Amino acid sequence: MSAFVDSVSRARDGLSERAADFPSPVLASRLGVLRSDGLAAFDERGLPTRRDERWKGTNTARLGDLAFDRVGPAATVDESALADPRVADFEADLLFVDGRLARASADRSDLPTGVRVLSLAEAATEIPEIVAEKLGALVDPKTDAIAALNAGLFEDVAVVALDPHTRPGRVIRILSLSTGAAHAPSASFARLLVVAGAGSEGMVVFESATVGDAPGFTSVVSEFHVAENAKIVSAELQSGSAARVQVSQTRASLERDARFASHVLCLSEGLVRSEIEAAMLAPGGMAGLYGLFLGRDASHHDHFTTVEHAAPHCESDEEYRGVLADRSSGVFRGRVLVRPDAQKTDARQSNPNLLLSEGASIDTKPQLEIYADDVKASHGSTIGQLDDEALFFLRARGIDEATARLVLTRGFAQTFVDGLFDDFRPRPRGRATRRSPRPARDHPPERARGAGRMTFDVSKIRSDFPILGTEMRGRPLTYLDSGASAQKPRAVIDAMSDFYSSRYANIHRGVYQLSADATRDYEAVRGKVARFIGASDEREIVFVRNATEAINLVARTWGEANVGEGDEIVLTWMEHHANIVPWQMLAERKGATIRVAEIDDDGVLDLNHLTSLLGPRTKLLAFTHVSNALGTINPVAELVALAKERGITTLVDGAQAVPHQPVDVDAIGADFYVFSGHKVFGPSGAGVLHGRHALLDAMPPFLGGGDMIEVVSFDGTTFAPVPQKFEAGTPDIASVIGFGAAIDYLEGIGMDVIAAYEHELLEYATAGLETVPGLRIIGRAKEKAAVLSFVLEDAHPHDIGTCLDGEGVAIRAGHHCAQPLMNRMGVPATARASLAFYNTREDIDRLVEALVKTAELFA
Amino acid sequence: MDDLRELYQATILGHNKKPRNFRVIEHASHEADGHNPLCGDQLTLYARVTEDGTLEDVSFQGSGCAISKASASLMTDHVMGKSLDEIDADFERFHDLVTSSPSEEANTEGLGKLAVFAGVREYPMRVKCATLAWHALKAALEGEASARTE
Repeated sequence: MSAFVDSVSRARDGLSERAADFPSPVLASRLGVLRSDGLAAFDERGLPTRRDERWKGTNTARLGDLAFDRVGPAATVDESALADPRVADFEADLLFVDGRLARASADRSDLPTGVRVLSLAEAATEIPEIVAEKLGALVDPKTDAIAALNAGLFEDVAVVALDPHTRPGRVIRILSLSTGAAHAPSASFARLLVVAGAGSEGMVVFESATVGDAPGFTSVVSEFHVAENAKIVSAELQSGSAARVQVSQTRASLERDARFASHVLCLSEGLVRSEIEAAMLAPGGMAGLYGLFLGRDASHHDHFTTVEHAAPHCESDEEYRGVLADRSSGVFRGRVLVRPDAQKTDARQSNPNLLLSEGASIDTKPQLEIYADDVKASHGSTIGQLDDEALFFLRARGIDEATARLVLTRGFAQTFVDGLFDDFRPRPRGRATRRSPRPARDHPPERARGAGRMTFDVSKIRSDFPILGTEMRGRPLTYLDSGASAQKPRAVIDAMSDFYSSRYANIHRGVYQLSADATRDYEAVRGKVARFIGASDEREIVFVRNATEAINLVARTWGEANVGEGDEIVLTWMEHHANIVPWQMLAERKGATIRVAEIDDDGVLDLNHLTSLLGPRTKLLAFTHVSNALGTINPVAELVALAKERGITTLVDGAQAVPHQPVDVDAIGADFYVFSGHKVFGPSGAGVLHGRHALLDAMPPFLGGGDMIEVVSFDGTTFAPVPQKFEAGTPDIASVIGFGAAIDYLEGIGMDVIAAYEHELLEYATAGLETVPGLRIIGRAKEKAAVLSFVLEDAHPHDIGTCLDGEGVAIRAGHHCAQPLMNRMGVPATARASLAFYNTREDIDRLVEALVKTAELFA
Repeated sequence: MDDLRELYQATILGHNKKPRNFRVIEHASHEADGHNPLCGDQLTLYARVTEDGTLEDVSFQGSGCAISKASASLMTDHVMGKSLDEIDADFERFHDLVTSSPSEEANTEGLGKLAVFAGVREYPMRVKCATLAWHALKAALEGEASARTE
């Protein structure tokens, strides 16, 4: 019998019955089952060995040789442990020492109702049923001996429970310490349970550390239950002495549209085994797994991750970075499992490693198991040293070698740190896939994830937009009408002016150089647009004037050919007139019927009702990605999937989505996706119809004329291939050129960065507006873009608009080209502030101030 | 806000809150709807004209912004009991007032309390709100069913 198993047996003899005095029999019984099942499974499996595929990367003999004198805390808590500055400074909500609660913070009282951070004993009183149902639910003791042992021996649990739609309003902090001295090694078993209700959001920081040498063994098992639409960020800091063996095992399950981001920072000086397994069980899930491990001396880091795509339309992003010095060693095993039904999966994984010495080593193995056929997956692992050229470059500028090495190493690690401030969104594919896996030595201070994130400087952004420095009615312009049309950066204005000044000619015609160059510039924008919106085929990009024209094009061509008498077109109540009227006109011509999917009072689409409308006669489902009047973000991929299952064609109005978030049309999978360039910070006059090539090819042409033909004779004409077939006559060439400059500008910032910033601004603005007396926000979807529609009790929206105009604040007032929606929401009109990434908190403050004055004037 | 006080004078705010002649005239001799699609203002104007061409009673109902409501309210007060010819002249004068250049001296002659709408000149987008009731009245008197300001 190994020393470890022997120590475990001795510890078991001294176990008292768990939770005998708990008031909840359900929970007490669940705890009993966890213990007996866990110990039974441990007995059956025994300690893992290197023959165990999951544990291949770690010297399990070291574990077997580990003996410990006690399990759980010593008879008297080591007070010096609590005086440790790391403990004092951490300000934990819950502090565990050797697996048992040592201190609970009074700060927990500032948490809002519905947000609970509890010890096991507290949870037994407050939420016993939840804990009984969820604790241990994600960990099968039969698959792993250490997890089984933890289930058998843990004494306490840190429970974080978020009721549906709650937010803690701050980070939740849990600290777990292991103590012990050389003569008395200890084992501790810690446990974290996070239950995030539907639509809740929060961040949990969990630190596991040792005090002093603390030889022995630490086991941490964490479970994250992330319900639909919930967003949870987990940050785990693992540090431990050279004498400690630490095993951290995290399991997460994600329901529909849930997001889970895990950030693991591992600084352990001993042996550490860190597992994360995240399973996306329903469509729309997003999991981000990020890690940074820093090894020195003889430490060993074994990172074992599994991302399971069990449902279609989920996205995962994983990046583990290793920096290994001295004789330290590292292992990275990254498994991505895509189940047979998980179509439209998008999975990315990378593991760059930096070895700082000859003696350091890394064993990295990505492992993709893909059983579905419509999948995008990328992975790459690299191993490199610090770049000699970069070192030379720094030293040539008078930086000593040690500092230079530090700068480069920090640069390598920085992306992880930046990512901690990331919203839950994995970065857009466009950037990730273009970045080919390269050895770290090629570019140590790598410009990767969120390179712009830490440097997003709104005042610099504002200086790129000349109009934002102007005045309106003698006051600095506060432009809050980007939903109607966005302002243009200098780059766009210059590109157009330069094009007209020195490079203008008609395209697709001239045999002379100027025309050839203009044609090339124009066509280059087509490729840019395709990449920007994730379209794999640039022939699928048709330039039009705007989204309205794109929809009319589809209605007049595809619609004419495919919609007949008695057929049905399904729309939603939140559509812009542009996505209503062309279909009404088509229905009128063809004798077809329009059916409209309901929304609720918050402005959220009723998916059940919509599904019930999709019948055998439904030819088209057309809906908006983001509502212009309410800001609601629709579950676009899910809606498209619903239609596709039934063989129904789909058109998505992306006019309000493309300017504000990463959009991936291939992942969305709609047959048609349309938007306007002028809302994407480009000039008016250039818009985009994205259509599946097969559909575009089969469709009759729209307008006839030049540029869209192949051969013309009076006996008949043959048409050019797509996209030219739909681009008759001279297009708005300069606007397309300007639009290309807008895309370049946006890509330089990063749409994910923009989305995160705007989300923050939206929350600030929502809170601000709620302070205005008599103000009611119309549109309260959980998933919402930075659009705020509102009414005031006594002032008509148009009067609000005029009052704000007088204060230099530009908003829109009226029905927002969505009269049916206004009727549905029971208002004649609303005032609307729509934000962009060039807006600031000061803009919002001016808005709120002007609204308060308006409310006073009309009171 | 000082500029705005020019537009939203106490008279306008008062009439917005408590509009005069805000009622339906049973057996009206003339009636028309007014609609300002930009704002969403919607009102119905009722009038009873005697045989000798005098506006014996005039009223309105509907919803809209402060400018359109106050304008309708003040207009009904102003034109009550006048002859149709006088009303035509009033409309002309009112229209001239709200569409004249803000840099010129406002000509409010013969407009009485309606002079408060001089402030609208600074906000050309709101002229349609101020004239909606007048257009509806004109449409009603000319026997048309509706008027739009657009």
